[in-house]
Amino acid sequence: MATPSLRLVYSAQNPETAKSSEEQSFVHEEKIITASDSESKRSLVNIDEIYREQPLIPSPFGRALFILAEIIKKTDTAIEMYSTDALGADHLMQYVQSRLPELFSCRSIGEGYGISINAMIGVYENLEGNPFELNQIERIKQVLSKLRSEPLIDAEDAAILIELLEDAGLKVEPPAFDELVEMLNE
Amino acid sequence: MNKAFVDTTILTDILLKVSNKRTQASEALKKYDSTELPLYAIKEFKAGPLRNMVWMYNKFHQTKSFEKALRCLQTISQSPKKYLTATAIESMVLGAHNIKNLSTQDLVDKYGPNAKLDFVLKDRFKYTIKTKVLVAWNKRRKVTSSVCQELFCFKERNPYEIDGQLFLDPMKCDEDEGCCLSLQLKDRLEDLVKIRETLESMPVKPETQRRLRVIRGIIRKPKSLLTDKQCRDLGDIYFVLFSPKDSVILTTNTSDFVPLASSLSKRVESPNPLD
Repeated sequence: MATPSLRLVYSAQNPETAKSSEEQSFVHEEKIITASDSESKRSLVNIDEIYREQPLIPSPFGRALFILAEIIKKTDTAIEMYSTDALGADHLMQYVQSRLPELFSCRSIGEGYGISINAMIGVYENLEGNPFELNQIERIKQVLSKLRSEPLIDAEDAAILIELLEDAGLKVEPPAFDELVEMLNE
Repeated sequence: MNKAFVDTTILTDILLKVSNKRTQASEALKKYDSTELPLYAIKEFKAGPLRNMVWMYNKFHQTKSFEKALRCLQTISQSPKKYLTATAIESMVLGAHNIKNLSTQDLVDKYGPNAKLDFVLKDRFKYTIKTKVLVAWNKRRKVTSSVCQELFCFKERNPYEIDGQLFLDPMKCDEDEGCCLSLQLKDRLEDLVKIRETLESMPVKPETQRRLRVIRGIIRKPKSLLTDKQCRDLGDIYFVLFSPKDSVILTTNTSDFVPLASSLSKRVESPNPLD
């Protein structure tokens, strides 16, 4: 029996935003890996086996994976130190915030990815500088980890991730969104 | 056991609003042992607030610009307070532009037009609306203890996407099947007469006039089937007529509901005690 091959083709899901030459080349980028029968399920392919290190020519996809890995480590440390050094933990979460604009710039990866990072930015805006509670950092980490393992997440699954954030008492909408809803329903 | 019959304004506040209106509406529901949402509220929600959100989403998609999409809203606004809408839009644009760190020159150099502020804001609002629409639709039947009074001529099809734009149809009932409310309304002529008298005594407003036209038509020809437009024009009348006697009608629109509900000896409550 032939060894099945798992062919992953990464395409920009939002063509209107995939305009730079870098992104255009990204559209055509593809990787082929082989997997044994038992490894052929999607969930068994770790994203780090596909992208082992930061790519020489950074694509939005590669950049996002790199930054996500970096800030997941920061949230991990923030969770560990939360009970003994709340200020230190909050400082790490400030670093996470500082990386979100670039992560958002990589949204040509896909709509679900963009939706999730947008929600994360909204969380920080609505906190207005107030520190996170422990369970909220854990939720943030959960979302970031999901995004890193499944960056091509679809909009419906991203909406479920956002509900996780909301269930932890975090608001995800950008400022002025409520005004827009009011105007639409005048 | 205290029960609430929930109207469309409460459903909208819970599913779409962000401010304290959402909190107030959610807290209000918790005061009752049992809460019921008639399917008519879901139909109204889909054809009203949810459709407006989807329109805005598609406008962001079509114009590819935050500011241009908001200008479209300003142009199309039917609000009698149009000048207020214009001011609100100005303040939204200004407020949104305060988020400057999302579009630095570095990011524009690195990621191109995708990182320009107008484009960033457009995508942020687009993503937020899409999330709201998906979550609102998924949660529509979970807001209350139960959904009651199913409308057999109304199909609850999920929102769908074509070429990057969202669509919600059908928002109308299937008129070929005949209006399922018509049969029930013809048995409520006595109540309809009381409601007509109340409507006639209320201040003249376009929606009051639309309701009066429908009610007069039913009283005149009780065996006629309602059209989808007539069904939608019933609006508040539906909730007043079909709320169970042992429930209160929970709404934020007390000014319209109280006189109508009083005519049938029914009670109305608002999440905001000041209403």
